[in-house]
Amino acid sequence: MPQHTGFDAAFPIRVEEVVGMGRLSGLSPVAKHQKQQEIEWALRQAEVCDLRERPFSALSGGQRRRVLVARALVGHPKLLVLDEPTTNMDAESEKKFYDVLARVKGNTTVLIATHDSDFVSALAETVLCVGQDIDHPHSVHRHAIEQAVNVPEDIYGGKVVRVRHDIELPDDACCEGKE
Amino acid sequence: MNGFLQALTNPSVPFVRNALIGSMLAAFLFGVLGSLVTVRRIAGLAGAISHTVLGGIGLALFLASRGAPKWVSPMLGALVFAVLAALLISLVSLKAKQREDTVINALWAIGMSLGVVFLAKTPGYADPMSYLFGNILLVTEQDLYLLAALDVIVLLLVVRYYRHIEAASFDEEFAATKGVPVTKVYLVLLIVIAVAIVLLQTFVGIVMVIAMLTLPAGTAGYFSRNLAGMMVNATILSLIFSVGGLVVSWHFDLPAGAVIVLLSGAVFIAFSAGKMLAGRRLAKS
Repeated sequence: MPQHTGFDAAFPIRVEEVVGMGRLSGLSPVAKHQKQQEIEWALRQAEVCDLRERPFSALSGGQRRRVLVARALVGHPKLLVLDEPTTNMDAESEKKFYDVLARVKGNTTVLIATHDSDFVSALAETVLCVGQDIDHPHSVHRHAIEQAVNVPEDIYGGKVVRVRHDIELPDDACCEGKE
Repeated sequence: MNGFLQALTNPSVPFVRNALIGSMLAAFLFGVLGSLVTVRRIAGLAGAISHTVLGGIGLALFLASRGAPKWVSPMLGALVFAVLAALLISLVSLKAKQREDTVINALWAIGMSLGVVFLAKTPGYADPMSYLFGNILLVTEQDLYLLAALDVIVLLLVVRYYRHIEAASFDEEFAATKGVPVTKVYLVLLIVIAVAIVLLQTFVGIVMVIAMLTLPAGTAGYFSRNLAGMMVNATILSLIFSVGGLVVSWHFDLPAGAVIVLLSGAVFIAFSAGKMLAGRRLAKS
């Protein structure tokens, strides 16, 4: 899911139809009944059921992002990549957005790119810092996270954890016992 | 109106009936292709394709006057130029996005100038105006068969690939990740539009094809909830405008193409103004 959603505001399309795009596969026709089930499920997952009949252009920024997450979920992806998904979102939308991700988390790996290097959502299990080493801009380090204290929740739209850039964890820590 | 109805049933003036059937067949293309041109914002591109058509017509007439074989017809010249223009523009827009508008306008101007030069060097009477503004009353039976065939092809393509076309128009990047061949969809769309422009320019003329591809669809866009609805509404509007324009032009003895476009344009402007006023009222309250 891209950070910027530069969609044509005049494009006539309803939320349900945007989500339905997730069922496409090449040029093959889409089976109707199966598609409807998938769309229902994705709409529920992203908490946008009540918006289904609305024109996509009439939604707020936060609602649009959730609709796009629903669209991405339709195909049951193994990995969901989000590029700064909560930029320009108010705290309430942000909280709602992370609620959706919390629900998705069990079945889909969620990778979030962020520029906020001090705090990340408490949903995060692993934090990878890219380009920390100035001489090696593509270097990746896995850093520890710890309970954050005295951080107002309303700024970050939910619970956050502090990233400990001084504690590096071994690279394979995420694959424990899985070889 | 009575005069028009009489002319319609009068077997000695078949061109009135042909014009009516032609405008109905054209309305479908204006509605469906016009909606796609509008939501994809390629009206300028369609304008360039339609104007290069004059170059092809001019070249064919010129060659015919120099003893070229009979199959070198204005229709063939128009078709070759239109498809070439479509391919050239899509090549440029796919390879180098930033200079697309320059190429579009260059083709527009070059195509038209070629047409004017060729027509000037063609002996006999060949008036560029008749190609620019068309004459619906000159629609032949063969034109009608071609239009009907294109209607059927467009209908089949749109029904079968509606979801894919919708996705590729709304969010090309996402459609591509889902395996939709967005470049092919775009190319086929441009070529169909090019062929449609060639067939439609006999009906309203080169200049007005663009108006009819944008005005009914633009008006429909103000009240349609999705792309399919826009296509249906734009087709109905085109039908009303073309048949209405035909009747009015017959009644007042005016050029049919211009009347049809003026009618479409007036309704479009009325809708735009209404939308603006409604928006202002909403903002105030």
